[in-house]
Amino acid sequence: MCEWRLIDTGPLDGPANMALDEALLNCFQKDRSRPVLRLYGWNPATLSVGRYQDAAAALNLDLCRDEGVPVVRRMTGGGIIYHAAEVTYSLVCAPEHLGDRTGVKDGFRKLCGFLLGTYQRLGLDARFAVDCNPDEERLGERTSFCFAGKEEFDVVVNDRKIGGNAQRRLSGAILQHGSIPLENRVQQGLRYLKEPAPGAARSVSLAELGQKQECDGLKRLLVDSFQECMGVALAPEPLTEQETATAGKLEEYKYRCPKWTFEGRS
Amino acid sequence: MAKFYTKEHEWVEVAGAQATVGISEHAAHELGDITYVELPKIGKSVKQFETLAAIESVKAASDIYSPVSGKVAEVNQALDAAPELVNQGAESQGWICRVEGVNEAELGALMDAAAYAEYLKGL
Repeated sequence: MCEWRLIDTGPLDGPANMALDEALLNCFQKDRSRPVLRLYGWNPATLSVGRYQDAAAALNLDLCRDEGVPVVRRMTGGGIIYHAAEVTYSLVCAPEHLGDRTGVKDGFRKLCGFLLGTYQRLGLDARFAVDCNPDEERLGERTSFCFAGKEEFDVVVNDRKIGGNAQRRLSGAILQHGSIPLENRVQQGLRYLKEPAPGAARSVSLAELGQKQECDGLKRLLVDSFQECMGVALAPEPLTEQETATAGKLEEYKYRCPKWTFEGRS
Repeated sequence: MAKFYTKEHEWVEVAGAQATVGISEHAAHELGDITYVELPKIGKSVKQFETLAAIESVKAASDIYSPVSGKVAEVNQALDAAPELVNQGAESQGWICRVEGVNEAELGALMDAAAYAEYLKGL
């Protein structure tokens, strides 16, 4: 059975989190490295913008600054996310770790399967958006706020989107990260947007579904579900020296720099 | 003009020392709705199989690797305002850029259309 590394870094701030995800991807060597599942959180609560979003056009940056809400730019695409009261995961692997499902669409289905499994373990009717009411509305339309949009492989419970996921693909390596919302903090996040995002009201959290989960309990469920859905074993491990050093550099020279955060250039 | 493909699903069409580069119809279909194309800078020098540009869809952000070495001579500016052109015609109006100073010998490391079709069957 293939063994994946399990790295639980606990809650970190936005730049540290995003630097670490990129470091895991950069240090991953297709034919030599074991794949990684990382679990983490955010402290303080942070707004993240997608790789190609115009932060100043989408966010009220004055309000963010006045209220001390940090903004960080992800290396993945997609919309704005307000990270608070959530368990976040990232994973790094080679396309070969997806078995015969190496394409983007199949890959998403495979790599998000453990999320469905986690919600189903809680007794929730979780499905991919594409598998329920496919004709109801246009899937995949672009919105500036992540939870206002719904894409084919978004996870939905009772037809409401729960959490969000994004991928970055390099030659021979895939990074995917995403969130499992413990409580719904979408309304707080919406305050910082310049434009309203009506679809966001339809997103949902575990608490609203009657699931009062603690972080640690949810992490155990995620780990169990991941092992079963991916058919792999997870071995808890610390970061390597190389990963820590790479993350430190990325944090200092990229993710804490306004040039990257607000202009997308590093 | 013959078209050649990479294993990472880019295509290149060479005319003399100039080449037009894009992503394959298969890649565009796999990515779903394209929402952004990060075009290379004109004058950028690239080596074969090195990062040339990046593309974002509703599903993933991916790097685009250059099928040939050379210097970027022209980019498809229309993609700035209309990235969906890649979905509408990844191997026609959705081209990414033109590269000059191409060495045709590098095409030997690529697949022709028939070999690429076979390669896709094996995925």
